[in-house]
Amino acid sequence: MNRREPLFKQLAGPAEQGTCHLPPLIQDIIILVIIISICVQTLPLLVLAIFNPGSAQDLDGSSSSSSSLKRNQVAPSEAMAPVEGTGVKAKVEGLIKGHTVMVFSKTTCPFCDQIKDLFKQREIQAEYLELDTLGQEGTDIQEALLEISGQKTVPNVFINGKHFGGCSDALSADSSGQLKGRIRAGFHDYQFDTIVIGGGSGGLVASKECSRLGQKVAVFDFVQPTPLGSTWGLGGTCVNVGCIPKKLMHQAALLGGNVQDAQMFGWSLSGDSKPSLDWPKMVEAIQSHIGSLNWGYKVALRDKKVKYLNEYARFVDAHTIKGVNKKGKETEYTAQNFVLAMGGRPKYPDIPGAKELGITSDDLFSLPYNPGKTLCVGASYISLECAGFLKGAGLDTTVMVRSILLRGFDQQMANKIGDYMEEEGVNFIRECVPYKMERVEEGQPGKIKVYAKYNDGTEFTDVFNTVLFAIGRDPCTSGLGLEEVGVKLAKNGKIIHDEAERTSVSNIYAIGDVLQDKAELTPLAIKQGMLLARRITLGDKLLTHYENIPTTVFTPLEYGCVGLSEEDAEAKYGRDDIEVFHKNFWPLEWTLAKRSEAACYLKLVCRPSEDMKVVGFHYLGPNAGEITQGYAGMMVMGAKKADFDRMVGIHPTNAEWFISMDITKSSGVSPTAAGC
Amino acid sequence: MVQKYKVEGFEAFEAKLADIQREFAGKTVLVLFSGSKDPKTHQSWCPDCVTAEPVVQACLDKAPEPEQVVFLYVGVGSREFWKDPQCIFRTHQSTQLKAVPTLIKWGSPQRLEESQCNRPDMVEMLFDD
Ligand SMILES: Cc1cc2nc3c(=O)[nH]c(=O)nc-3n(C[C@H](O)[C@H](O)[C@H](O)COP(=O)(O)OP(=O)(O)OC[C@H]3O[C@@H](n4cnc5c(N)ncnc54)[C@H](O)[C@@H]3O)c2cc1C
Repeated sequence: MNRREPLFKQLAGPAEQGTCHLPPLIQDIIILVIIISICVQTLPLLVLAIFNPGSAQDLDGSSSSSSSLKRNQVAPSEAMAPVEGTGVKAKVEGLIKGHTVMVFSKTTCPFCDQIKDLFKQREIQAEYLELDTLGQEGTDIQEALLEISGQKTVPNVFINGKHFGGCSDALSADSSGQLKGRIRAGFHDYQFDTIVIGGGSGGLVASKECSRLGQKVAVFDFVQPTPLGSTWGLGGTCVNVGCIPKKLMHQAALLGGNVQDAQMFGWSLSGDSKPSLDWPKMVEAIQSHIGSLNWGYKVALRDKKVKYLNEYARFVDAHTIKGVNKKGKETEYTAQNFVLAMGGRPKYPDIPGAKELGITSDDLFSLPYNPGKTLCVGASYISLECAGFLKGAGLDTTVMVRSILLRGFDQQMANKIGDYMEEEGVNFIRECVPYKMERVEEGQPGKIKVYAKYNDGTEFTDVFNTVLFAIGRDPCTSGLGLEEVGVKLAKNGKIIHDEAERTSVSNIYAIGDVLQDKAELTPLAIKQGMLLARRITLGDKLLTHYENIPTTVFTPLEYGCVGLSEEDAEAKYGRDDIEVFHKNFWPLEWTLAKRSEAACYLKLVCRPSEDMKVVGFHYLGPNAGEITQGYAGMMVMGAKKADFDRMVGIHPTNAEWFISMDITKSSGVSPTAAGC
Repeated sequence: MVQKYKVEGFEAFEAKLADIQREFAGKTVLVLFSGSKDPKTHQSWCPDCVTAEPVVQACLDKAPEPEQVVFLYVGVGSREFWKDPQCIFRTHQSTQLKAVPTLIKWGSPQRLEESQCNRPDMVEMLFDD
């Protein structure tokens, strides 16, 4: 930072520096004006220096207990006080503390001109003190600057009371976008401009972006082990125990199916023709990939100058948190702003044996042994996805459902997913809830007896090797003193917030899975983190857009959707103002493989009163994620049914079925496709 | 003191690594792959390697538990040898290098590449658990 710049003599600056050289007479006049203005301006600042004699502020921003200095310029009327007993250093410190941007410069230095031009262009209000116009005092000030900042050369720039650097620092901070954020961070004596709690999908992005834009940032990430002892590295849910291992296990399952399909295409498998999955080998490969991602995040945080603290954070007051590390060591940290990004953790039912004998998705992806015969409790997308790949891995798999599948999703699609899974051999036990679990046998896996009750009161019992709970997730908002500092929580523990992700405390923001009534998805947490960081650092106005968020459920038959479910569209617009176009299709790659002809299905929910605007997009079939992401662009742009029909297809694909859909649900005509 | 070794070429690397793993089981092994040095100038042909080596060495000297660390310097060969896409250091399962210098905490996914190796704050992360 403290790069030394040569002190250029008058008119000696090379022309390529881009500084303008004025004729000597004009320069003299300018200098005169500057001297006068400096005389007028330094007096009040000298007074300020008296009020703050030798204020030993920590210039690097590390903890300093001396409390809030008033940073406004001293009113001119106070300028009459006699200047006595103050050192040059105190005067300089007064100047630094007295201005948001304080520049010590010289009238003769082309780099100083460059900085002045830059600040003028960017409309940055800065205070300049021209040292070469002050005679011996100027030289003394330069010595004091060296002592304070380690930099003797001019221009020497201070922002918000802290040393910033010289001309090249300002130029590079400007081009990297940091300058504005640094200035906007404001005067404060906290250690950090922003502390982010939670190094997951949202928190990592928010912390890196705040830092990139000039703030001093720390991110806390600490994983509390599961009851079984599973724990993981930096990156949060998605990377360690969510999206990433989930999609890889789903892929492992799909590959098994493809190997079987391959025989129908003419491939012969040598030896045993039924593929079998080596669970520990799969887990090891997945965990090794996750290990490299954890490392990559750590490197990226260092690279972006974000301080990573592997400590559990708790609030002490609205500007202070206490971090506790693995060894129980406590440290306090202060910050101007906080971003809450703690995510969530799986729920356990309150029944005997649940925590001792059950596992959740937090354990499954690193389970070192084959889980064997597995019961997945719950009908969330996580439960169905896990059941799907466990079945695909060749295991005896059962799903226990209390009421409906995939609450919140389009129910026609949800039931089709369930039907397909049943066809694949997943057992469904419906309208049934477990009430007790007992260990029958130790082992890896052992044996667990599950007692459950159907809604009609009849009993269910069976023995499983593994019981996985996927009955929902709780936000990680308890136990860290949020309510004590005034952050309001909803009944379910989620954080109440406004449209700019501000909580009820003005310097505390929240993103990701902890937010009330917002989808729990990684790309959404990332978007929220990115936009929030820009609002905090730059005062940007752009808000996160919550309409048309695409998503995909990676069940054996994948399901992708954007916009409204049929039920929600009906509730919002009325049955009379929706028209549903739908179609069954048979993927070409499924024909030779003799897979189900009736499983894949798509529908567009449209609104007649808006010229058949497509308000809901639904696809059930292979590669749903890839297809849905593409069509999400059209949905965001407000496409109508006619826009879908205008497209030319890519043949042969599954995505092309969305073009020229002509069968409406209301017509009662069968949606079964009539071939190519 | 960190135990330090130096080898040239893939075969020597494999042999030395096997020795180290036998002799120092359980210790942290850091391997620095670098463009080989010109015997006359004692300088690597790769500028990032020239900058990285003293940085890495200085970090090793400050390792929090030096007796727990073993360091192996590996010269990957001449520029010509390295630039070949089929260079064994690039293709072999155990190394899979994409760049020199690369500093690897052996047996872990932790590796630093190119100018990352010039940053003491990055190199120090390899000593964290
Ligand atoms: C099985 C599963 C599959 C999923 N699949 C998908 C998918 O396919 N696509 C998708 O988009 N989303 C998926 N998700 C959801 C996605 O993982 C989350 O929406 C996303 O991770 C939320 O990010 P976040 O930043 O809010 O929090 P998280 O990523 O959960 O990160 C929060 C971090 O904060 C830490 N933390 C909590 N409290 C503290 C504290 N007091 N101090 C320090 N650290 C703390 C936590 O340990 C964690 O590391 C899946 C989730 C699960 C469980």
